[in-house]
Amino acid sequence: MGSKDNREQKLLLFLSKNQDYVTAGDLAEMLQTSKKTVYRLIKKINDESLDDSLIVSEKGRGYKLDYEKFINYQKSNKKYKEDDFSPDERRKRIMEELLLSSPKPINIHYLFSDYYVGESVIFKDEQIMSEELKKYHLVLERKNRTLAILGQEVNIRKAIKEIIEIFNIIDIDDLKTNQELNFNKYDVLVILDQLRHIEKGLNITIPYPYNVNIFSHLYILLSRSRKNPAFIFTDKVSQEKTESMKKDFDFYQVAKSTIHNMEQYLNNALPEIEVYFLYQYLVSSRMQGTLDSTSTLSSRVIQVTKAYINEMSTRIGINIDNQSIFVDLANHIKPMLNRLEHNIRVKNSLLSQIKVTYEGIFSSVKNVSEFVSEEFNLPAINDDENGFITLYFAKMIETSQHQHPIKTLIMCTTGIGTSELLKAKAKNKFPELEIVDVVASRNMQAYKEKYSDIELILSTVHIEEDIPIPYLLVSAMFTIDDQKRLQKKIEEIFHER
Amino acid sequence: MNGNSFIQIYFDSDLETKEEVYDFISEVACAQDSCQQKHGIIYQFNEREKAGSPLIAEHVLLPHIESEHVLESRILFFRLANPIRWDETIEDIRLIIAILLKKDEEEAMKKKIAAFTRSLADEGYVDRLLNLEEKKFQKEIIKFREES
Repeated sequence: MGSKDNREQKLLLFLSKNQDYVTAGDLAEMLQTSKKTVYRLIKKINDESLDDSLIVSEKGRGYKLDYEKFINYQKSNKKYKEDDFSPDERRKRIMEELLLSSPKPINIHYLFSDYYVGESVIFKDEQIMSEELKKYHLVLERKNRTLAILGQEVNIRKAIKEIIEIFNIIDIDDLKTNQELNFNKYDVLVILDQLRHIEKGLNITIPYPYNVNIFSHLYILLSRSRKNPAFIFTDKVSQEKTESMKKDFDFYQVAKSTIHNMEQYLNNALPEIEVYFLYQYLVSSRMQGTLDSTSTLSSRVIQVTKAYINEMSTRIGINIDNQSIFVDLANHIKPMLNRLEHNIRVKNSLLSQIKVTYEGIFSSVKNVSEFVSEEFNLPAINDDENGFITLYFAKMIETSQHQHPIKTLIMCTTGIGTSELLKAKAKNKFPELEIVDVVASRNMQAYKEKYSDIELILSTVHIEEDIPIPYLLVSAMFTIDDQKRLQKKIEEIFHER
Repeated sequence: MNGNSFIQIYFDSDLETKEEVYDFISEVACAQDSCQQKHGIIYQFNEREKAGSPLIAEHVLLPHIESEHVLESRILFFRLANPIRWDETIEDIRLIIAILLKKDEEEAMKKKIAAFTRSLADEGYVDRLLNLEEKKFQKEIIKFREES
């Protein structure tokens, strides 16, 4: 199947990228095959498509994709694929079922009936799932041809959130309309309403990904309590913790009324601990609005933030004396400390990208996090969190807020011709440069002594002699290309500092 | 030509090649002097071009030298009657602004010229110099002269 299927996909993709007709000759060339094969491929695609032809042809012009049909075709294709689960998907779906019903046992035959697999596969699946669940301190129990997941409610919810992939890809704005996600539509509407209720009650907005996190929490709460209305939440909140929550009046009130609304929607009472649970999610979320200021930071938050900034500064060798990163980071650290304490994990969907793009910063952050968690006696700081923190430092480095300007000499033959012009142009576009002087190239030696701390020479003329200072030849036009090269040079200099 | 000031404007100039332009400039630079000095100036302009292109914007050249052959510092404007081809890589030139700087010129004069070249960083200004008719063109230049 491989190459042929591949060719069909390639052909469709190629046509989908072209607005206009494409000749059979061009298609043959693209696929490195004969025109005859192209005709055959197109006939096959059109024969297999559900309704009319997917690819339309016109004499003398060639072939074109019927775009609307193509999109439908892709959708139906996907649906077909969905019935065909990979082993990994199969196990995830089974775990989902078990987690939502936990601690209720479910018959093995019933669980696996949709997947047409044999005993040995089931046995192997059990082992793999059991391993997976260990990460969440949960146990997969087999008893009389049934399976059940046992463990603390906190851990069960955590596992649900991470195993069910749907929670990692949701986009709050997209939820109402996205059919593919398979959420219960009514639940979605009710929860979105609750999110608004929370935001209004606290007079704040909850940014991504925290809004998704709270959404998931509430959605799981609904699913759990419906699947297993009698589940007993054995964990108890200590008196002390309840007291301190009640002191935080605004958050407590909002959590309480939200849970109350959920009870009404479910038409079922929820245990008192749900209020505390939601409360923890709220204080662990970053809020934008009235609360976003330094005045509300505890000394612990300030200390942890400072530790990050100091340690990072020595590790990546930069000088951070900027107040804005402190405020930004501290407002992230504050809810993070709460998340750590209450074992709430915010999935960082950008994590793999962050790791690749900011490899160096990420590994430094990881190191610092280990140091910080030891120093401040915190639970281990996971990679999702490290990823978020990385972004704060990456942003700072990229906008080079921390850097001193680069001392720059500008040079041409006379020192008043193209160099003055260049100075005016460069000054506007590159605030990173501090232009110390504009000089004539023949006085090079004298200036080298006069400005011994010069970091960059920008010249419109070629410099013959060997100079130990970074030097960039640009045209007096200061074209886009010149600007790009200068940008690169600036980055190099910043990097070497 | 506008008087003997340090700014000179040649509107609708019919110069057609680089050689003609440099020849003309060298004449202005050392009016009664020897051929050798003229050659020196032309040589310097050519050397300058080897070091870096004088093109500062589309259609605009800014050749400039500092030389002991120059008697008086000057800025020369050539608004060409017809766009010219300068060399293999530079064509469609419509405006040439040549700067002649006397060796060991006074600071005040240098500053004046520097201020002018800085004003060329303003694309709008360069555009006006390229497109305005003669009277307005002169005004733009004079305006600058008064400011400096």
